[in-house]
Amino acid sequence: MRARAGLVAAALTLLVAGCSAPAPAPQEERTAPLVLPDGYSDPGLEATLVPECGTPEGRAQYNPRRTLNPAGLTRDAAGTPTGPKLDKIREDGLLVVGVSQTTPLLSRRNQATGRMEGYEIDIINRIAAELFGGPLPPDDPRLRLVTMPTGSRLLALDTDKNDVERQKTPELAEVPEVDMVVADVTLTCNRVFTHDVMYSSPYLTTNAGLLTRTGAERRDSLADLYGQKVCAASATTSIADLTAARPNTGIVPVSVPDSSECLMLLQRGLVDAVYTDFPILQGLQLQDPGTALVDLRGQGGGEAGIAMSKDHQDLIRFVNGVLDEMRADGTLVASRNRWFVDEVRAAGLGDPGPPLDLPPVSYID
Amino acid sequence: MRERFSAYLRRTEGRLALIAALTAVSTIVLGLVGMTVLRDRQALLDDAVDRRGALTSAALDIYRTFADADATSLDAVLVDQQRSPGLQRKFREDIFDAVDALREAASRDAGGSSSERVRRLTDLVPQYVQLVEVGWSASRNNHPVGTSYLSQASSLVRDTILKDADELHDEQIKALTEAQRNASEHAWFTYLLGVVVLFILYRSQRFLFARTRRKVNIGLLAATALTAIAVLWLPIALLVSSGNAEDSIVKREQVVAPLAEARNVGRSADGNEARILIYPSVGDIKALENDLKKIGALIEEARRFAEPGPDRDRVDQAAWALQSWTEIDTALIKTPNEPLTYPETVALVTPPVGDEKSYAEQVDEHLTAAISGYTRSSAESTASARAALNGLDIVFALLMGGAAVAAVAGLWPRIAEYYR
Repeated sequence: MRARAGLVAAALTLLVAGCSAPAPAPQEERTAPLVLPDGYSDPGLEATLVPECGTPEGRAQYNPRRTLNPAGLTRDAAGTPTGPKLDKIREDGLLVVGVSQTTPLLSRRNQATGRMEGYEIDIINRIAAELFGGPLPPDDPRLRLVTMPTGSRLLALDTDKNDVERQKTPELAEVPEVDMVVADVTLTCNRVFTHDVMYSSPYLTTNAGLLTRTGAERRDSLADLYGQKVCAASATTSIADLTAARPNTGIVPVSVPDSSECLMLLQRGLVDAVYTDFPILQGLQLQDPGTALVDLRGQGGGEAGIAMSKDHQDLIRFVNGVLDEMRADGTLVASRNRWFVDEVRAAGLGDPGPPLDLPPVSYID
Repeated sequence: MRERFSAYLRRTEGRLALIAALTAVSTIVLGLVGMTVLRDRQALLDDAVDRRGALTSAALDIYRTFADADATSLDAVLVDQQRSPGLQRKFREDIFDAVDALREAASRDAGGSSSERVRRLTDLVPQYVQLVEVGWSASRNNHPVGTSYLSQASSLVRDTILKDADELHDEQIKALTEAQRNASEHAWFTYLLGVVVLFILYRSQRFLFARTRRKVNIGLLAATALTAIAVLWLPIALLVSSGNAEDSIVKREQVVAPLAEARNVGRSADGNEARILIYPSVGDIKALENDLKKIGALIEEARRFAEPGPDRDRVDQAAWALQSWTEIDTALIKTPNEPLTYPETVALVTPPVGDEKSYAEQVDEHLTAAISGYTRSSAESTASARAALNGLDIVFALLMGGAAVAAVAGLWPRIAEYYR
């Protein structure tokens, strides 16, 4: 009897064991893939230095601040400035200007109206008005603003060195030829050497700034960002500043092709700060009230000028003349204040402080 | 015992019993081998018709929906706010279809060679959608950072998702073609075995004639006839099946494949147009020009092999729509020094107002119709290939079973004579 009960118990045990589900296979550990923009680089990518710009003679020869005096402009009997390039533009009835469409305050396309607006657009409009003898209505076909493909802005100018480059790389044929580029182009020896450009007198002076997410932690300087990622656009003076600051501050510089992408990375939590020219950061902050902006007076920055082919001397003199007039009649300062002070205040971002004064202008002739 | 058995086999009745056993066993073995071979072939074709076919079209859908989503995500910020929600809805439908196709691919190929790829694609969907949606809402607020989101979303699609989807499709096409070719290959081993069985039957007949002086043994003759029928039917059925399978493969490789690629390139060209406006980079215009040329070449290639009929008409219509598309895009491609104004370009690259379709959409629509038509007829050929082998496993087994019975039945009276 006992033996039979044992058998039944054993059979039941076996039955229960057979019925219970097998132990589930352990779930594979997986992590979400990290999606980063094209051209993201950690550590940040610096510009290759042109050797000529490393020597005092080269720096003097390719000095980006060398520009031409508007007084040297020839004028016809009616006092209208003339010259081969200026005559050509008037004859064709077309001034083509390369611009950026993603830098609010400086130059951006208003998606609602489709029109361009900003400090640089004000300057361009004034140049066009002086050139064609009166203010142009919006969408006037005589002024064509062309959005420049990233990484090739200055190749759009008609210079010998650019021609050689265009012949070497057939796909550059699609870069439209423009008369001038007004897209926050910082004056550098590198650019003068590489593209044969000549700048106008500067229309903007900047220093660096730091844009971070708002919060309890103090993030007022690079030193506050030990071990954190700081973003800047590739091959700019800003990324060079960050790389230089790395040993002292312990920051991790990363770069992307466009500073607007730094804001995206900041919003997505993939970087902790953006470091670049203060006016550009003002434009980025306008797009995201959840950020805090620090003006790093005395650090970084530079001067921006209108880039033109050094062969179009009449155009360079003419543009310098227009900028001189704008300085003299106060329109340049008024426009600058309208965009970098009034717009920022109107957006409720507090008082940005006065913009930096423009440097004194000197001409080589 | 062994000696007695050897002595028995040396006698005529022993020899006859041995022959009866040998013919019965050899015909049964041939029957089993033939049945197994045919079942394998049927299973391969069933797999081709059901699973592989479904996987291939899922892979095609994955590519198309993502490429379409890419173009739509960009168009949605170029058009005005009244038209934008329509395009956004189209994008969300594309994603819905893409996820559906991914789910289909995952369930049809669980643990298979493509499952890793499907999983990788699925992993990226949430982030892709998030980038696009954030990009839209930033653009709606007039914030240029929206462009950065959309540009990143677009390069995620182009550089990762579409490449993987394309490879997934290639893998499936290759596997499908291989399965179809394997299924209709000649069964040489079975044929050889059939010849051996026929030889055994012939030798048995000769032996019987030598020993019994009876000219014909009906049973052995019937067994020989049944075996011959089975051995002849098999290659004929496989030939018919292989003809149909080849027809399906040719349609798929020479017509559907170039058309599908043309359609994919068309979606990419549509996206290129919008990108030229939103975040131009060097190479976009050239890429657009090349894309348009490539679509033309692919359609031409498909036309060479496409038979006349309604599907072929759709291919021709796609070619005409492409011609109009190329003509209006000339303004965008050929005149970099007199670039179009922003509103002119927007009008050119976004879908027209109302129900009218852009040329890009027309090309896509005609190609989709032609692809569905040719895919259907390719699938029908695969089904015919399968039908040629329908029930043949059973028939083959029955024929050989019958041959075994006939051989034994024919020999039995001769063996029995010795025991009277």
